[in-house]
Amino acid sequence: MNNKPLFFIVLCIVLFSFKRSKDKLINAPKYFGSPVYNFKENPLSKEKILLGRALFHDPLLSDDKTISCTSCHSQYNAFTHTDHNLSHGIHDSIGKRNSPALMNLAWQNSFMWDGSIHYLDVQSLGPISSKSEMGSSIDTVVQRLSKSHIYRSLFKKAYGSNEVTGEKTLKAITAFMLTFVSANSKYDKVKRNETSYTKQEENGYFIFQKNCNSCHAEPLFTNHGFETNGLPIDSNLKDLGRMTVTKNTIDSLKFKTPTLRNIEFSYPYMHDGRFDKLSEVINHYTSESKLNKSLNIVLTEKESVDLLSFLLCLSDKEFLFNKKFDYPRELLLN
Amino acid sequence: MKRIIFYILFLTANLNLNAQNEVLISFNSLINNDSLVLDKYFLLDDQKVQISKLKFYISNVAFFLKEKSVYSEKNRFHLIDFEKKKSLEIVFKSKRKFTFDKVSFVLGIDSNTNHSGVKGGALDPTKGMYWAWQSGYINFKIEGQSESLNNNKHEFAFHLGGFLNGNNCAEKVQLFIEDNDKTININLNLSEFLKSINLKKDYKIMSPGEEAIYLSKELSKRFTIIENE
Repeated sequence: MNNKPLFFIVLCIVLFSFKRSKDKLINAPKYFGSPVYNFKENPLSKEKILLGRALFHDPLLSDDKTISCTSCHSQYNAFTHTDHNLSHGIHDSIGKRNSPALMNLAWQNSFMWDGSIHYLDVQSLGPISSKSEMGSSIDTVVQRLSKSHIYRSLFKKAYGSNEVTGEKTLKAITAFMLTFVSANSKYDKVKRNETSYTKQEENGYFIFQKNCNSCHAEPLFTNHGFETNGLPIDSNLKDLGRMTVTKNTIDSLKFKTPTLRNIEFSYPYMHDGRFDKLSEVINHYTSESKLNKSLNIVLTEKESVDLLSFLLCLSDKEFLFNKKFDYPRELLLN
Repeated sequence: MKRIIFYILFLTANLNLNAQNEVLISFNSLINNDSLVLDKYFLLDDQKVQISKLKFYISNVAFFLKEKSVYSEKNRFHLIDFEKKKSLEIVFKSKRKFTFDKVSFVLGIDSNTNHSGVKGGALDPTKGMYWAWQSGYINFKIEGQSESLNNNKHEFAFHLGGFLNGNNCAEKVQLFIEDNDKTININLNLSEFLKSINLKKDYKIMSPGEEAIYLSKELSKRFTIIENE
């Protein structure tokens, strides 16, 4: 009896179903390219993502249990905060930068406005420890989680053991954040030939490609680099940006290029949140007096409006209102 | 002829006696011939000094005989913490016996490991050896007080680390060993290290950069073997 063909068919079904189940956890289009995040070091699973989701929504992470990740990274604002130009933390303390929007993080190779964090896993250590954000420590967080019946069982489901460690905690938060994939904006749908731009949007896209694309490079709308944005330094914050990390004067006042995806929802803008409206940002880049010549973009009033209409094509409501990112009510935390 | 046979017998017996399949490295820090006791004052150039925290990583431990590797570890990291006596001793086990005349290790965490994200075990970030506001493991942490300092509470703190932007400061330490014994006693000469710093000027270093590189190099020279008597 020859079982080979049967074995081959079963193998194909197994492999195919495995591929499909993996695809469901993170669904990104091919034109995003390969992610830079090393999934081998932190393989995703539904259970790990659920644990991460619980942690992301839990104020237990902060010293006085008042601030969670969502306090500054709320889903409906593309995982940033819209009322505050600078991030707010425990005891009404105010940070020195605008909380960044979070999406497509698996393709991002540095974090924070100055790139001081090089790997997504260790990114959360920043806000957890910062005195003006959560004011706690990963040590305290691990101790608190170890005492929680619910969390111990979530760790068990995610990692096979209910022992809570710093590594597991951080990797679970990362797993959840890696699922923040935004790839269903009108821009994406046009790219996939599912719809088409209006004339105004099309003209805006042309203006965008000519003037903005070198830094806010498609399809992620960032070049992952650090650039001068031409803003005068805020005399209170005295934030030198990238230079704080590299200690090289060439990097003075350079900040990481933020993605423009979901820009309609991620106001206020710039590293210190000084602009409330997108039109103010466009005004900034088109006003000759404020900028050095290499940054200056010359646009007519109509062109500015067209550009704006294209930028609105980067909104992805399927991402912004996806229930899978919600507070995990089924767990009844606390 | 008898003499030669005797010599051969003596030599082989000697070799067998010296070959080990289990070696213990024991860290200590001698100050004025006494072992360091945390939070206890000692005199350094007539100034009262005390150390409250002394923690560092060692990794990539390897043993050599005539510059040829005879035993080496990969991806094993040891956190030496003077607050935890057990951590001062590390056992290296090998299936076959080996003799050696040199031991080497990296003082800190290499760049590759730093580049691959968060790790568990000795490298778990709850160990207090990971920077939060920027990326990277802290290779070496020493905190204490010195009478000579004019700052608030006379405190000094050095958190040395860094691996990005040309600030790599994981230094290699190589120590030659005369006695191929079961136990290697390594001394970290802190008084010499503290003398190499102008504490009044540099009493706090907590980020990667030139100072961290300089101090890491200084530190790597302060490890010595305490020969067995």
